[in-house]
Amino acid sequence: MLKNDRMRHQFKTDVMSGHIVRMMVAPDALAAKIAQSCGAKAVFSAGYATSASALAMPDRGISDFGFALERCREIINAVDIPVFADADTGYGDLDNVKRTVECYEAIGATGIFIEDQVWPKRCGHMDGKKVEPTEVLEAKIKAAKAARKHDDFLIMSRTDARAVYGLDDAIERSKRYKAAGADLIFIEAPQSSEELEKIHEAFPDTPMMANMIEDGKTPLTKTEDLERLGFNIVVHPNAMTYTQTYAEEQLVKTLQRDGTTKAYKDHMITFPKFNEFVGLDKVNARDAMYAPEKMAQFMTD
Amino acid sequence: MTASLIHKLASMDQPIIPAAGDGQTMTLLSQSTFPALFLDGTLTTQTLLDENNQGLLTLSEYAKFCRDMALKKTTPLIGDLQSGFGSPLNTYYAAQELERSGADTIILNDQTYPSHSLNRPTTTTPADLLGKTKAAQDGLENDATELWIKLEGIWDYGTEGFQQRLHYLANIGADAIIIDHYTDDQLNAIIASTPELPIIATWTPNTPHKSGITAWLDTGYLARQAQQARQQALTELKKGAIEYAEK
Repeated sequence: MLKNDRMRHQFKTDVMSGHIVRMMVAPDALAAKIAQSCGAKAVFSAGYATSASALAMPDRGISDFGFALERCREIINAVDIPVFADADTGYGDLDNVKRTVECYEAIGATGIFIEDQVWPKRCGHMDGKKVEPTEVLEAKIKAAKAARKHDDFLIMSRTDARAVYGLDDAIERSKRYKAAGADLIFIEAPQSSEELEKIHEAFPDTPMMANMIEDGKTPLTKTEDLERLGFNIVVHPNAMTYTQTYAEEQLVKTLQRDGTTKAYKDHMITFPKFNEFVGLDKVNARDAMYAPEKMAQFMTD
Repeated sequence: MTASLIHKLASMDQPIIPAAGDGQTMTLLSQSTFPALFLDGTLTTQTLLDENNQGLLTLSEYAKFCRDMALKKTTPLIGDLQSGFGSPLNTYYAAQELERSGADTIILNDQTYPSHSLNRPTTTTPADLLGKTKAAQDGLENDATELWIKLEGIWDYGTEGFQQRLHYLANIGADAIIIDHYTDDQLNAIIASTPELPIIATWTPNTPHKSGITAWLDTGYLARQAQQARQQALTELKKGAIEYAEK
């Protein structure tokens, strides 16, 4: 089975297993490889992290489809675990949604979510969000389902209506998105454990995602507790970005202060360990495989 | 999609595989009944960079365009690996990238890196070519993806050198050979030698069909015709502008 087929199948199986799938959002390919090396079963490629790493900009709809797709592709190619993707609003109208689905499916993503914010969107935990009428995402979900080539390329609906119209409206919208064909449901930014419970009660049989943002609107909840609440996916969208930012800031401050990085070295991976992590030995071994003297075996009469 | 493209071609009457380097030509060709389409490196360089030298186009630039075109394909898409975009190690990753970008068959040429769009390009050694061929094979993840090798140096290493490379490439398991920059006598000699691999020859208008050729690979006929038409249209436009000014 080819990698793309294998990843989609594996992710769908895991999501439907009744156990929760925990995903870090990887800002880049290296972060995704780190997640994989630490045992992550899947990773997420999402807008907040991509906007930060590619543009050093906030998640306010400045980073576009091209940035998001390419970053997701880099991540997919760097790991051998499923990669799910944030497709924002689908980047336009139904024609854009079709292209978005085709492209993400072609690069090997296991699925995408599409949301009902007005473009330019903003991070789900930021203030000032606006959402489209429900019909807009309903039509996008239908277009996405029609565009996908494989049934196990999962389409998740995301509503940001909780912050605008309240939880009941967000649930009602999500019911309509499910009826339009959404395989997975994501209600962004519930504000309490009770709201998380209420979401599960509204969708007892539909796989759902919870979003755990440090300093966000939703209380940070353990994976095990979210699993008990009936969630099938939990994503940690900003933790790797914040950790990178913090670590790099401390490093630069140290260098500015001391004129050397020595005092920070204990917080770094070493040169040999990093080279090992990114597979230098394997690359060198592959390089040697194709040396001219190794080709003599084929240069016979 | 092209599990047996070379076999399919062999079952046809010496089909032409057209070359394209822009989206509109790809769409036009897709609407016809060609057995496959070649996303040519030189034509793509002309589209993306307005340059005639394929060596200026990097793998990532070409692969991005290949992905966009692959979404539109209705027939097998042949990707241009050029000379592997570097060493055999580069070739390994480049072949993988083109396959992931939607190429169903991949053409590796035997030029030195970087490739050039010349009538008499410099070619690499047989050992380096074999290293790149093996690397490309190893980089491919789908068993159905074919690897064709384009030999561009018969003007330099002659018929004998061509046959030697062909034999080595048969040993290593290439799927087909493309002959480029040849004379009619050289092509006849290659065909007469009963080659161990299917032979595809580059095609220009008025090239006569020959038995022993599996298929013909276009070198950009449509693009050249389109450029001539644009030149003619430009003349009309200038003429119209002068007449308008005179009025």
